[in-house]
Amino acid sequence: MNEIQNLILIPIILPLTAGVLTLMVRERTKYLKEFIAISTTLVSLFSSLTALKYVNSIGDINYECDWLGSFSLMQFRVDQLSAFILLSVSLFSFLISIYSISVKNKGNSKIFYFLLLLTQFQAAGVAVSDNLISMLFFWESMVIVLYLYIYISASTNSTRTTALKAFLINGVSDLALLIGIMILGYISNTFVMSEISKSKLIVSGWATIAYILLLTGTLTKAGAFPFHTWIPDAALNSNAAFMAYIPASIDKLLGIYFLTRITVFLYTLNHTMQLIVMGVGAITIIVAVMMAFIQTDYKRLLSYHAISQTGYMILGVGTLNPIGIAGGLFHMVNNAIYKSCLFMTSGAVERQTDTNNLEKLGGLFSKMPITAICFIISAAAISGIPPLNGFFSKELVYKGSLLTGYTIFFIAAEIGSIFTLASFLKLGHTVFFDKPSSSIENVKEAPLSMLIPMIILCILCIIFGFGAHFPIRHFISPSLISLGYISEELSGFHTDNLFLVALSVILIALTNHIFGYQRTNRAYKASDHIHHAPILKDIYEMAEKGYFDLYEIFKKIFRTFANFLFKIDRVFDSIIDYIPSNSSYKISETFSSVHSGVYSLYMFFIFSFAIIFVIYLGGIKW
Amino acid sequence: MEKLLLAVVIVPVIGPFFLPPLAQVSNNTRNFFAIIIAAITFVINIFLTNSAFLVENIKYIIPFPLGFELVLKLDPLSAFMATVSSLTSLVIVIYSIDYISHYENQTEYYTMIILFMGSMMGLVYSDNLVWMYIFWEITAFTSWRLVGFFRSDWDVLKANKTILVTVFGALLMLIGIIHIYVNYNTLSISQLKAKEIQFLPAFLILMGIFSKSAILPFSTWLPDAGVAPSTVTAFLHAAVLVKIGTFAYAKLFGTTFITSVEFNYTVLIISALTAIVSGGAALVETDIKRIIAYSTISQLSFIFLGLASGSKTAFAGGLLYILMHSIAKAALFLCAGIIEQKTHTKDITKMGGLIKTMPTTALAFALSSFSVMGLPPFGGFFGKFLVFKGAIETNDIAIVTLFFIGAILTMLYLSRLFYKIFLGNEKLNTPFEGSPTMVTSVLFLALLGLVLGIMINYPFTYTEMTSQLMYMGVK
Amino acid sequence: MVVDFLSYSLIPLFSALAIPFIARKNKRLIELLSNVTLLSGLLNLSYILLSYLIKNNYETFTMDVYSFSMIFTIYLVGLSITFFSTHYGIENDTNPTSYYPLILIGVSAMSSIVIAQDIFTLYIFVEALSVVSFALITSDNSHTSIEASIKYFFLTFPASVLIIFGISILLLNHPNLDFSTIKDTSSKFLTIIALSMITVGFLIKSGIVPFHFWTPDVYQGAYSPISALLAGIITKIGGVYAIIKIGILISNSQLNYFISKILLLSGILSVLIGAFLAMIQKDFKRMLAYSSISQMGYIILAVATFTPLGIIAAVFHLINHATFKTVLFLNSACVEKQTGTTNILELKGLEHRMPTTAWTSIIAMMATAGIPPLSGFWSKLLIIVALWKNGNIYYAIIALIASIITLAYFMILQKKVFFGKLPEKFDGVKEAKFQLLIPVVVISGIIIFSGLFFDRVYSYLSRIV
Repeated sequence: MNEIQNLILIPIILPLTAGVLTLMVRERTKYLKEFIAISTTLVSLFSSLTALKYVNSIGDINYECDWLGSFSLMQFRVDQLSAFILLSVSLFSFLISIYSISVKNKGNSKIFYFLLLLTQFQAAGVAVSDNLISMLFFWESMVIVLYLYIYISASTNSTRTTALKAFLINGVSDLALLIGIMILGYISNTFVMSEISKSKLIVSGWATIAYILLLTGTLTKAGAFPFHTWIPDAALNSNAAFMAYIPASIDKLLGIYFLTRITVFLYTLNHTMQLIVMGVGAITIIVAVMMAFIQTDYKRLLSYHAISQTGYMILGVGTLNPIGIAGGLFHMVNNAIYKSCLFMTSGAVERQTDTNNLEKLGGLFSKMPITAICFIISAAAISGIPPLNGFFSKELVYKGSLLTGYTIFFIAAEIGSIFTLASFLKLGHTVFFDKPSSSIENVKEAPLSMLIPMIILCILCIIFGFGAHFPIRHFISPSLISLGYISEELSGFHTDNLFLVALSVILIALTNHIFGYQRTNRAYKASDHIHHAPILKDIYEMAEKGYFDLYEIFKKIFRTFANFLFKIDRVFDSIIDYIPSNSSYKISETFSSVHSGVYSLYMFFIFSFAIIFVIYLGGIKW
Repeated sequence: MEKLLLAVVIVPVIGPFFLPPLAQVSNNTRNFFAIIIAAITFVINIFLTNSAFLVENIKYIIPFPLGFELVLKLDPLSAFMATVSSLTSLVIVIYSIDYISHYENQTEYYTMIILFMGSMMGLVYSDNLVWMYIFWEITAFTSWRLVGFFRSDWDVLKANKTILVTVFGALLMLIGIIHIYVNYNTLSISQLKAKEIQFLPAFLILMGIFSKSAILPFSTWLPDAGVAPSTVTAFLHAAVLVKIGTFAYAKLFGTTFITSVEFNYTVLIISALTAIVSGGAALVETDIKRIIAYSTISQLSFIFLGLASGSKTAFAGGLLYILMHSIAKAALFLCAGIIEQKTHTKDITKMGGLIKTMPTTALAFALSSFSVMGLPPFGGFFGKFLVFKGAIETNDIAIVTLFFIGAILTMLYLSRLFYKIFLGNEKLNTPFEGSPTMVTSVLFLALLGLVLGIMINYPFTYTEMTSQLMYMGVK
Repeated sequence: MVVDFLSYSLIPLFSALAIPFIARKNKRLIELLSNVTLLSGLLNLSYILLSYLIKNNYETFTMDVYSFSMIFTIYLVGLSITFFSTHYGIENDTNPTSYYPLILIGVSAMSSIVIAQDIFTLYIFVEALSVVSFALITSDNSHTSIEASIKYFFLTFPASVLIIFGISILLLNHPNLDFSTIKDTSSKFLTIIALSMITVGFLIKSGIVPFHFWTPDVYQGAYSPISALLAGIITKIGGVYAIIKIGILISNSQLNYFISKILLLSGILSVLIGAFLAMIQKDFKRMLAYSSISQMGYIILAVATFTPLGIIAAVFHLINHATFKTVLFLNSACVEKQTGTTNILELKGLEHRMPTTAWTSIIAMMATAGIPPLSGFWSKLLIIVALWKNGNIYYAIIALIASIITLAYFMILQKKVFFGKLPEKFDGVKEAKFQLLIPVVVISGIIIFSGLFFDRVYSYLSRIV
């Protein structure tokens, strides 16, 4: 048993120590940092793989150690779901640490790898924690890493502002999470999730508040509407490695993981709450994809897709039926795969051409074929082209949402995938096939260290597509079991009318793209006919100006609020400062007015008072 | 052990009066001696803290008539508080040597700061209300001298405001004490244990506490006292002075009297409002030290939340918060000191981009702000966390909401402060860092906050045992 | 008269009579004689006092504690004034041959007041004291001092009328005027009237509100060392002493109810009005005068309880007040001597030029404001507790809160006189020469130590009743 416990400690402890080690390494020494990072993440990948095997075959792994006196322990408990998440986290840490060897604009590489390993440590900690407090400990400490990650990528003001924005959005929502967890512990007298799940909570009173707060926390982590606004900015101001790592994979994994935990494992939701969750999912899909469609920056466009894909997962988890949840989880891992692959391609392109601006890019297929192929595969996957992994997970989500009986969500999802495909047609067409603009000459293929992870991910896309039953059987169904569902046959290539729907989606998107391309004859303008459509035009402008940005709105609100509070503070200041002194001076003035210095007056006072006193004394007795 | 108890009070109370003659010898002798006194006090406190749980009632009694006898008593709470404050004081005194070296009135400065520390020791260890009051007033006096360090009319005005407000509160407190004295016919805290206290005297004493800890409506003397040198503000606003109030609250209403629910509710509401108001003010102010001072006020109200919420764990959390906040806030003020000394301004709108020129200070500042914001793995996180536990256990949505907003404001104003000072456009170029001693002491405090957070088990176990052993709870 | 203390009133008198004959020409000899006279007395007293204080048991202490402490205070203040004057350079302003003897006579008169055993004797010496004071106030023949002296005469004159009138009424139904006899049969109506007249008279003498009108002008106008003497001891022995005496006498008879009403009223009034008026004064000495009014108020409040604790508190506060008012007035004299003004608007930033003066005055002020652990805190605390236990809770609270005003005006004084940046015109200012500082330093020491060793002091004073 003991060595098994070490098995789950390895992905947590090892990266931490290694990370501290990298700080010791001198910046100048070549490849040592990279080596440390890659080997560490590889080891933790294998150990988590073994852990998964163990969990699937034998059973949960428990570990606990002293932490907060008698108040709380540091408790780990790896069930199938946690093991699955742990595995994916380690996988992406591994791939990214390879990829970022040759990412130029990642800032101080020592710090970069330190942060990467730290993130691995924290993410693994979140994945395996069974005690909510220890989970919060790992979860909330990621904020600082996030801030530094964005901060180091460039020393421009816009980067710093974005870093601050990311920091504040996540920090505040983490506070919400903190309070939510406190309430959870208060109403169920324990912070251990497996204990709480023994008697699931019902949404009422404090529990409702707790759920909403927890939801806020998780949605922010997953980067769902309306807490997503830092991601597009980060796409502009940071590097591809970061985007591929944190927003595209780790955040999604953890966010959806905990969303599943609370929604399915800790609570039995009532109808309204379920609708809210699914609604958030649907809105996220639509809004983000509409924004993505019109972007003219490679990474920014991808980042909006990263958001909209979250919508599918939330939708899937929100359905609360096994198929939907399976879809959500499956989509989570799929999305992480192809989305980080896409970000990697963007990074590769940026590295070779020094730009991500679609207006400048074009005709790169001949120059960087492998990157292009990787892009095409993963783009197809994200757009749900059968038989790639995206198709299956989306299909599961559709099924799940149909099963809830709300067709509206299904339709929203479909619209989402139409625009997803459309925007990727636009992107791919522009970057790789459209006539090259003058600026880019003599571009070579990306270096090997970038290609390897991309290729690996593409292979995964294909494997999880054709052999969708494999991940389902080994990752998803066990997770469902650990969540308390009997697993049914989920995988397989269904030729029901959903397939036809998918086909029609593809056709619509194609026609739309061709139409748009015909109008302008420039691929990156292929979205203009929607961008400049009557009402949408104004909405888009406002959106770009950030009128709908929750962060901006809150900034305004808090500024006015703070001014108001400052006024109050001033009032109190005058109460203890001016009023006493002034009033006492007034009193003194009145007293001193009597002391005019006139003898006769003084004399009069003295005599009269003397007489009064004496009479008073005698008078009492009479 | 009794001797140690006496020594920990006597040394820093009598010691400072040897500083002026030593100053005649040479300034270094004086500074050295000051550090020695502080160090001795700290070390003795460590010993006492270690044995606080092991040995039962250690007492040292100096007889006085009418039940005014001076009783020094060792209990975990006092030992804890004494250790915290003497630690921070020690660091601050060391820091002062470079910071204060080019000003007038240095001798008075060191005398007063050590005397302050001494009276703090007396305050925390004294087991008699009237002596608590006596040391309380001595601290008021010393803080008056310290705040008025720069002697310009404005400074002296603010110094006067400080002493007048705090002494006014103290007088209200004295009324409460006399009320207790006449009712129960004793002033010994250990004899008053587990007695019920009426609302009025409790409220009067509370006013004294609030005036010392700068809770509404007495709050604004604290930012105004920011005119003093940064070491003084660090000492008064972060380490010691404001903590006196929280300590007194913990000692009297946490572990001695059994208070009524209404009383605790009053405390909670007032401190909640304070958290909001001062947080907002901190978001508007542009003077670096005033901002940090306001943040002190808001954090203090979090401490009061923990102490007053009526649950043992939250009480322990409040104590933990005292520790973490002392360290972090002292570090912040000392960073402000370095910045002020190098840039010759306190207006953050005139600063920017200092992270290039003073990276170490920036690092220390960032770490301490994380701790104050309550982000793991820094110590502040656990304090805030446990305090919020208390807030929820009051089962009152209003209080939770108010403190939630307070916490958000904390995050906002601290990040704003950091951004404006260290990031942003470079407005003025400061060629170099602060002096090694100053930077080291700052960094030490910042890292201490981190270390305490990582090995949270030890401090938390201590505070938790304390609250398990001593906490009285509400009626 | 009690034989114990007779010498203390006679020796000064003799030396005062001797001086004009044996030492008219030689100024040094005069100073020597007067100082030695008082010093010997003080040494003698303090030897006795300390021997008991250190042993801290009083089986063998037979003397009347009240009178003893009073005489001690008288000698202390008297000596510090004479010593101060010898180095203050009075010969420029006045004639030593009359100045020192007058002080000595004053001391002897005060001692006689203290040891008087019946009201009439007491009255005689009070009048004698006032006459001496008239003369002393005008020591430097300046306008202000003469005006002050006239004011003093006119405005305290009603007191004499009332007292003598009351005494004569007392004579109607008492065989003699011994305090003891009054104590026994003090329920008759006439006695009440008489006693009330006497009380009011002494209230006037001690300058309590609403009879305080003369005090500020006199203290301000008088010759600086003399205003220290006046504020420090004369008004107390001439006024408050007698009230406390009466308080002790009638403490256990039922007529104290009426008198206590009056005393409470005028006491609280003086506390408040004195403090408030002190806040807006522009003159160092005048501010001190008002502050001494408000401190007198505390003493009167303590007396008004007529409880043992109250009396102890009153005596203790009386001694304390004598000490710290002396310090403050002497400091003001030093400041005036060094800078040539006592107008606090002109003064500024003297603390580095005159450190000892600054710090001693800070100590005295803190003691007055009742900041622990100085003596003033304990006496005030006792007063408050006594009032509270006596049921006058509201008076207690008001008196307590009033000390914030005390603190406030002293803060103003500090800010104006000692703190702040030094203006150019005071660049030349130096600390007064150390002989002038000896008295204030010594008395400051007494303030601190009687605060720190409050237990001894209390167990000594608690033998008054």
